[in-house]
Amino acid sequence: MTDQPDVIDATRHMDPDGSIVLSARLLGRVVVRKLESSEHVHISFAGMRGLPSSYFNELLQMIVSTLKTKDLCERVKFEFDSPVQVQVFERSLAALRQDAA
Amino acid sequence: MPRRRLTIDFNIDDTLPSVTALIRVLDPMLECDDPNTVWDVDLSRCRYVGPDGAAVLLAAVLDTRLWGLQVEVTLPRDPPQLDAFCAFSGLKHRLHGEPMPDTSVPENETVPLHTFSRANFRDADPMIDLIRRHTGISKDSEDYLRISVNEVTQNVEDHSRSKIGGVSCARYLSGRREVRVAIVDCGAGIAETLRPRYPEITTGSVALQRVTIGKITALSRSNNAGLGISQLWNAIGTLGGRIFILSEDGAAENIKGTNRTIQRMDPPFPGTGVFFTLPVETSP
Repeated sequence: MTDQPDVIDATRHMDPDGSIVLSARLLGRVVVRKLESSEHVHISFAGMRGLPSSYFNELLQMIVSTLKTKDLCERVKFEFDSPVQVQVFERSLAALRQDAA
Repeated sequence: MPRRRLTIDFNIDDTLPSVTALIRVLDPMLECDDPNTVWDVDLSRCRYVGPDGAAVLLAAVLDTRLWGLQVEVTLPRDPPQLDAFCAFSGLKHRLHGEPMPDTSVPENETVPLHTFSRANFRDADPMIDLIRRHTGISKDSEDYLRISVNEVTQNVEDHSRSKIGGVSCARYLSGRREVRVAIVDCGAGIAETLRPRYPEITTGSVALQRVTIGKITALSRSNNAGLGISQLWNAIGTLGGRIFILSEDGAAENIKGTNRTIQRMDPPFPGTGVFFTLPVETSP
């Protein structure tokens, strides 16, 4: 496995018709594939606007289908350019952790 | 064919009491299952309609027509600002087939009625574009507005099973620097979707109490986590906005921040309606 983080630009993995859930799944598939060959994956949400909780719920569930919830933040880094977006993400992440506990 | 007239001779403000009053008038039409009845909905004496009233009215008409009933709507013509709203909101276009005016004109403050079946990242674009025609908008305000809209539209897609999909309408009030958004569906209400997993949720009021707190979901989609409405509620309340949600026989409204009042709606709302007002922080 490579040790350098691969940066995935979320804006490049969006459903062309703008579906929120399909966009999350597209990104999720890319992340899961990268995790097969990289120890660390870095997802950049810079430039993404209006991501609701459903987007993150879908994305996070896809990622933890291949690794343990407790390893999620060790192996995947989530980067945002919006503090508002961070709040939404963190709520979804907290819900995921609570369910796993 | 028997004709029945429903008269709306009051202002349909963007408030819970007004929308409730509107539903009370429309209820006989919404409950009617006689395809021979022709419904005349008369708003000629109404002197204010905003996005809340427009979205509810169009949703009610679409739902009624879906059942094969005929509906004819008389829209108000006075005052001129209201006549303009009926044009720019698309009420005249949707209900009377009139051509849509050019909504990019500087004086327009309305995002036209929009029907949708799936949530889309671009749903809030017309609102952002409208605001930008009047003023700059801060990045945080844009984010809050987009997220708020998308939380609701995703709920409509996931849970409502609404045959008309969702109906949205919005207005930017430049004098108050606030945007008013209404998103309505005529599907299963929140209580109905939750009841299979939570049999103790017997009323719309109880359902709204629970979903505004969060972490309760019908799991209509396997990865639902029950955060959407509470996320929206907290965001609007924290920013000093106003929100009320109507679903079946329940109504929830924020009073000061994120505190809520929950009350019973009679007659019930024919689905779910989310109505919020968000202050817009302008950017330099």
